[in-house]
Order: sequence, then C-alpha cells, then structure tokens
Amino acid sequence: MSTDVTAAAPPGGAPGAGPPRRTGGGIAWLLRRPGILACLIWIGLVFVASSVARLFSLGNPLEQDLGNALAGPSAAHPLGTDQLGRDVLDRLLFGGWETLLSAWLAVVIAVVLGTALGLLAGYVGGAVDTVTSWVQDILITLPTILVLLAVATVLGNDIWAAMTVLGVLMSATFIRLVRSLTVSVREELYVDAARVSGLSGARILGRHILPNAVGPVFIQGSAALGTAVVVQAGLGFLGLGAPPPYPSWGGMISEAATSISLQPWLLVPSGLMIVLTVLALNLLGDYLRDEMYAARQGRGGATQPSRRQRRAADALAAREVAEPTVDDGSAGAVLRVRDLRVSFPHDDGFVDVVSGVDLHIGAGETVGLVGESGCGKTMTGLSLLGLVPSPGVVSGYIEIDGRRVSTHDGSFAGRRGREVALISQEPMVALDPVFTVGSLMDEVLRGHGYDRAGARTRAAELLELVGIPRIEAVLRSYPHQLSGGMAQRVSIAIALAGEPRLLIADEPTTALDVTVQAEILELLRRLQADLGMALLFITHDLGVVADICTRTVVMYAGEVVEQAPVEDLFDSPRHPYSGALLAATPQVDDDHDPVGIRGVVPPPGRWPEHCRFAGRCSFATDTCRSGPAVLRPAGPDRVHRCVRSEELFDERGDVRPRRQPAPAPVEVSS
Amino acid sequence: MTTGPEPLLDIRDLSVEYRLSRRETLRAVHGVDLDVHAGETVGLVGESGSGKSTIGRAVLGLTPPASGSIRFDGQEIAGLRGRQRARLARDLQVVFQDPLSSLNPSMKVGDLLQEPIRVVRRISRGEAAEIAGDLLERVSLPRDAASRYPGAFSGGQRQRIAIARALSIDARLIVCDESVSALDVSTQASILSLLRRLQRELGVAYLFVSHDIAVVRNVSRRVVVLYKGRVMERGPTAEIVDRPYHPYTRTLLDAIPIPDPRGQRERRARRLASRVRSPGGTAAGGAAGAGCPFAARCAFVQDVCRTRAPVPIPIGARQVACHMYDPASGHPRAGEIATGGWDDPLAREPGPAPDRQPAGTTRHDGG
Repeated sequence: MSTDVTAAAPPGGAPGAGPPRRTGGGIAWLLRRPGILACLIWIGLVFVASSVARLFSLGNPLEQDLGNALAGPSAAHPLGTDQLGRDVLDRLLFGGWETLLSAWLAVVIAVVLGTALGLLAGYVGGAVDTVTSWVQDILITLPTILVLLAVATVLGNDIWAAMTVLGVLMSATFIRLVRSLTVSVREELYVDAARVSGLSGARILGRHILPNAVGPVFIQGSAALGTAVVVQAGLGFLGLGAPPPYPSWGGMISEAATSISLQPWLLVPSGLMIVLTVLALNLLGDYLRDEMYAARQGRGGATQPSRRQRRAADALAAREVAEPTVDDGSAGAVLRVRDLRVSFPHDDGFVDVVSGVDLHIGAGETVGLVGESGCGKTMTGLSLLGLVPSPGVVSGYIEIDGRRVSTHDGSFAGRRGREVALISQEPMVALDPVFTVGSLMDEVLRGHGYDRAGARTRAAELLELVGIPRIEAVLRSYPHQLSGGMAQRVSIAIALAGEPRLLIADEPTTALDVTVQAEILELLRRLQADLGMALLFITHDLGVVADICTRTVVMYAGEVVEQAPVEDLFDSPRHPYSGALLAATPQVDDDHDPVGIRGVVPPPGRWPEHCRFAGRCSFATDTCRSGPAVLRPAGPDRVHRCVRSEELFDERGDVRPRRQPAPAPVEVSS
Repeated sequence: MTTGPEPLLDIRDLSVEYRLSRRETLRAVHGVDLDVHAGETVGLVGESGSGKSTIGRAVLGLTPPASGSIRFDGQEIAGLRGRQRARLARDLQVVFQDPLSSLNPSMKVGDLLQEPIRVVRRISRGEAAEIAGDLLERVSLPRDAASRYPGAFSGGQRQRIAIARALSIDARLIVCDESVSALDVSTQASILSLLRRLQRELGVAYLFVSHDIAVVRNVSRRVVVLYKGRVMERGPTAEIVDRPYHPYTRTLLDAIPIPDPRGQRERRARRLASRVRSPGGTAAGGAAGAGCPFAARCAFVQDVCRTRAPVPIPIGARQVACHMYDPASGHPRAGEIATGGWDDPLAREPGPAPDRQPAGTTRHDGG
C-alpha cells in the first residue's frame, strides 16, 4: 500500500483498489526486478550502439579486406569478418539500426491503428463493431509472409514499405485487445457517471477508457516488437532486406549460411543478436504482464516474502496457546477458540488483522458475529475453516467437535466439509458455472465416501432438506439457471453434505432480496432445529442477528468488544461500540434518525495500545486511553471491553448515543 | 396526486425494454408514472428485477425508453442525445451504489470534480480548482483531498466524493441509485444526513432508488413501490410503511428483519401465518403482461388477478394497484377471504374507502 496516505486508508486495504502506486523511485523499483533490468539493458545497448554507429558513421561496414576474409574474432575484428573480409560487428550495428527502427515503425502503426479501431468498435458498438471485426478477421487470416513477398514484388526491396504493411497486419491483435478492454470498461459506473456529466464521447474515450488500455497495449507491443524483428530478419534472409552491399541481420544470416562449412562462427554473431534481442523483447512483455497482474491484485509487485518475514511467520505459527480452562463456559461446545490471531506480512514483519479472539459455540447454538467491514469478522470465519489466504498466518487454540485443529500443519484438509463447512455470500460464485447442480453434488458426496447410486439418493435428500421443489429438474440445471435464493439453497445443501458439526455462514443473505432472505433465514432456523449444528453467522445486519441468532459477538478492530445473549445485547448494550452500531441502524418501524459513527475503523497495524474504539467513541475520556482495555464479565454469559461501561450506566442508564427524532423531510406540496 | 407547481421531473407511462437477443425483448418497466418536485425526495423501492434502477437510468439518459415521456422542468428529455443531452448534465446528476467503481481510479479527486465543471462552464483551471475545493468542504472532506486518488479513501469518503461530483454543476435533481447500500450502517447514517443537509442548503431534489425501505423511510416523504416493472403502491412513506394496502408491499415489509429480537419474533410469527405456499403451483399466471404480476405469490389471489391487470385505485393520498380495492373488479375484500394473519387494512380505519375519496387523510407523522 502506498505509504504517503495520511487519511484513513480503506480498512483491510481493499485489494486492487489503490491508485497506480509509485513505490520508491523508478531506479529502486527496477533494481528489485533484475529480469526487467537485464532486458532493458540489452535492448538499450543494441539500440544505442547501432544508432551511434549509424549516425556518426563509426566503423566501416562496407570496407572489404579480402585478404582477411572469414576470420574468427580478433583484436581488429572483435566478431570476425565475413566472406569479403568486412567487419561483422560494424555490419551488425549498422544493420541493427534499420532493423530496430523499421520493427518499431511496424509496431507503432499496429498500435495506433489497432487502438483507434478497437476503441471505436468497443465504444460505439453496433455496425461499426461488426465491420471492424470483419476487418480484423481478414487481417488475421492473411498469410503474413506471402503478403509481404507480394508487397516486395510490387514495391521492390523497400523494407520500410514492407514493415508498414506488417504493421497494418499486426494491428488485428491490438484491435481485438483494445476492443475487449473497452467493452469491459464501458460498463464501469464511472463511464456512466462521465456520460451523465455531459462529457463528449471523445473525451470519455480519451480520459476514462484509453488509460485502462495503455498497460496491456504496451505489454503486447513489446512482444509485437520481437515478432517484427523476426519477420524483418526473415525478409532479409530471403533477400528482401537492405540491398547489398548494405547489411541487414537477416541478410547476414543468409550470407553466413552459404559459408557455414568454411566458417561456422560467422553464424553466431548475427544469430545470437537476433535471438537475444527477440528474447529480451518477449521476456520484457512477460515480466511487465506479471507486474501488472500483481499490482491489480494489490500486492506490491511480484516479490517474494523476505527471509525475516518467513522467520516471523514460523515463529507466529508455532505460538503455543493452552486449552481453555473449563470454567469459561465453553466446555463441551462444538467450537472452542482461544486467543485466535490472524496475521499478515507488512513491511518487514507481521501485523494482526484478528488479535486474540476467544469464542465458543455449542450444539444448536447460533452465534452472530457483527461489526463494520475491516473489523476481522470474515478473517475469523475463514481461520476456522483453514482458508485464510496465503501469506496470512493463523495461530491460537482451535478445537472443533472435541479435537484440536492445528493451524499450521494442514490438518484442516481432512476436516473441512466434514466437521466444518461454509456458506458464502455469493452463491453463484460458490457454485462452479460449468457443472450441473447434480454433478457438483455428486463430486462433493463421492468425496464423502458415497458410491454413485448412494450419491444420487443423498443429493435428492439434501435438496429436499433445503426445500427445493422439482428436485430432478434442479439436479439437471446449471447454477446460472437458478434464482439467487435457489442457488443459495443448493450451496447450503452442498455445505450440509458432509454433515458438519460447525457451519460458518459468511453474510449468506446479504446479496439476496429481503423476501428471499426471510426464506433462507427460515430454512437455516429449521435446519438448526433438526440438525443441531453450531452455527456461526457473520453479518453486518443487526436485523438478521435479531432474527436468527441466540448469542452475539461484536468485533471491533480485530478483537471482541462485547459478547452477550442476543436479547440482552439489543435491550441494553454494554459497550459503546455495540450501542453505536444499534443507533446507526435505520429501522423501518421507527421515525428516529440513525446516528452515524464518526471516523472509520483504523487499519490493522494502527490499532492503539489502549481501547481501540476510544478514537471514535463519544464517551471516551483519559481513563480510556490510559491502558489496554480487557474483557470484563457483566452477568451470566456476558462480557464487554469497556472501562467506563458501569459508570456510564450509572450516569445515563445507557451506552447508546441519543437519537433525534427525524426532522421533517422538505415538504413541497401534498 | 400532488397538486401545486409543475413537478421538476414528470414521468408518464414510461416503458423500458432490454433486448435479450434478436427476437426476444425483456420489458423491465411497464407504464410507470412518477413525479418529483423541486427540493423533495421520492423513494423508489423494490426487489431485484423490479425495474427501479432502470427507471433511474432512463431518467439519466443511460437507457433509452421504449415508450412514454420523461419531462424535466417542462421539457421532454426522453429522446435527447448529444449536445442537448449534455446540456442537461447541469441539472441532472447521479450518485451510484459503488463509490469505487463510479470514480475513475486513475484520476485524482480534484480532476474528477473539475471535469464536469470545465465541460459546462468555460473557466480557468485555477477557478475550477477553487470550486472543487469548496465542494470537498461542502461534503465535509479536507480541501487537500483533491490531490489524492479515490483509492486512498474509505467507502464513506468515496461516496462523499461522488456526491461532491454530482453537486459540482449545481444539479437540481440527483438520482441516488442504491447510493448507501454498499456502506456500513455506521457510514450510511452520516451519508444520509449529508444528503438531507445538502437538500436543506441547496434545495436539490432526489430520486432515491433503493431496495431498503428502512433507508427510504428515513429520507423520503413519498415512496413508489415497484414489482416486476409495475407500480404496486404509492403514497406517503410513513403511511405505507405503517399500514401497507397492497399485498406485495405487506409481504415486502414483513420480510424485513428489525433489530429487536422480541419484536422480530412477533413479525416472524405474523409473516409465517400469512405466508402463501405458492398457490396454483408454479404455472405463474397466463401470458406475460396479462394479470397482476404478483398473482403467483399473493395470498388473496382470485381468477380476476390472473386475467386482468389491476389499475391504480386512489385511496386517500395513496394509489394501490390491486383488484381487492377496486369495486369494479369483483374481487372480494381482504377481510372476506380466509387467510391467516391478514385482516382488511381498510376495515380498521374509518374514512377512506376505495369508492369514495375523501381528502385530507395524509398523515404527517415523523416530526
């Protein structure tokens, strides 16, 4: 993440959300990427050397020394001489200038033409798109070398004309690339917003769409440059390059080939020159592509974790946390978690995104995990499934169904799906679109040890269990043919396939319409009554919590700030953060204005030593900033982390901010 | 319904179609009427597929209407293109749902704010920068936010930037398309109060498109409830939320979980009691377009509902498109049909009945 941002960064650092980042200087960036540096050095060297040689007429590419023909490398001729005793190095450099420049010409033509047509086709669409796609298809179908030979026949040995034609032919690739990028960006909301702002089509294309294409076009261009050099050398080899006695790389290979039995060395300089140059151009394209993907995914480039980070990760993972003592009310629970931490690499060490969470869920219990985004809810859920994404490290004590799960030896693999399963927010994303529901369920059930016939019967049973009508038809459908509610039912059925003892539901109804949400909640409630699982329900919707949960855990900035039976929490929250969340929720049957919470959740790594909510709390005093806030018991099965809670209750009887009755919306006429 | 000065936005009989393929079209919006007066907020609620966003996009000129008229300030804008449409940008703006994808990530906030200003008015870069700074202050962001990229801001801050952009050329109507749906409740509340403050200060009107009735109740006095592209019920928000007439509105409201475990338990029980287990199987209705779109899910469905589309019936300050309230339809009233948990909403109150139309029944609660 960029470090110059002083305003609160998006919590958790939304991946790929950042602006084009410029970390350190260009030189420092390059030094950390030796591959790119090597490619650039080689290309630069060849280009500068050949330009200098050509422009300042250094060396004598045409001077013959017949007495010294076909000599190997020597002090006078570092790369030897050819059949006529001409210096190979001078000829390579002299020919290189034209090779590189004409290849450059071809690529510039291809890029300009391709980008313009691609933008137009993608943005305007309709007939323009159709015609452009015909043009592009024709260009791709034409055999390049034959066309170039035909051009050479008509126009004579003019390498610039041939490369111009090559540029037109190569533009097809760029048309296709830019068109597809344009089509996808055209759907972006910011393009709609620009149109609503009354910007002209040209300006939208130039300011909002083209910048997205620059990166990919640049990368493709680098590879195209390599192709152009090869084609150019090929033409030279066929005798269509610079007319003799002027040198060209292809022509030099052709000449070397005729005397291969007399002096095999002669093939080496020109051949190696072409190979290395093309390789450098192609590799450069590949490296840049990797960099771009890495940047899009929000990683700071394709670099490996440092050794210090790896060591820190091992140390974290090995952190021993003892089994919870029996008197914390968690004995016999399906899920028991103590001092759970999830940490991610940051700078040279690690930073916690979940820090020291204790949690337990009994059979038949539904626990709601609430908090704003960036508080660590989802990471907590994923850590219980062993699914925290790669550089993240999970440590602490996790016990599922009476057996301890180790967080760092892969012991999750055998238990995922059987003892613990997941329902995710986007059912469509959870279901692979290329398989039918039947084969998706078959795959899962066979993994749980069913045979083919058994899996079929069980699949039907499970779909019936989740209330799906016309089971046979649904088994034959693909996920995209199902409605959102049906798809979520199917994904619940799949989660239940292994008869899990613990079910993690991560915002399972957030993407659904309220009427469908009500049905899914009803289903989960019925399943809970029938199957008696431990259900962890992660959500930001307090209405959903009130509907389905028996106990609530409120998280803030990576830690639990309050835990209470659901009625107690809603009746009288004890932590000001819980109170603030309640006061911020708009209610359909209530005229009060919701009260926002000022500020944002501080990002991981910037959590203070004292109460983490103090910076946003309307009741914070110096007491709150004097030392770490610890969990304190407040009645049966109830804890909170507020130093001032009791005092606040004595003073005002509540920790919720006072809500104002809504001011009348502006009345116009009625 | 609303008398007085001419509405700022006046939509009549709007239909919008999407072409699915060469032959097939999907009618997303069916003959919708809607008006928004200067300085007021009208809520447009419905579930996915209700056509609520499509109406917003048609107003903004992003989706062409199939038929009907959209008048803004007395001028027909439905078919406007090019330069004439661009001139509307001065008055008509939008705040989308996703504050990140609605701001070009590769442009600095200052440039994003200046761009629309400089298109509409020929002013220098310095003046535009000055205005951009003022706009940032107006939405409670520091002036120096102009020099950063959208990615450097939190979701709520980005939505403030999107609002500032919408305000940059003195818009008179802002279409808020699920503008607070992607935000945490903690942020949602402050964005809602920002929108209200701006309305008080600048007199801007909002067409507030949302799936969340609780939010709509908080910002808008009038609401239009859509289902499958048709208006089911419209009228004063508080009245409709407290006492829905249309069975769909009621279904929708009952499905919203409230943050009160005991109250929610009661609502749930009530909802389950009146729930319909898809009567008439899944052979939903007759031909597309015939009958009431909600017939397949309605607890009170009668034959007439499947064959004839209901017309809007005025009841007090409201309009309800349901045969149950249309004496001419032959549909029995809710109280005359045995369905658990649902009484006749009209039976409880004296006064308004569908066949007579007394005036002055609008409740002005909410402060």
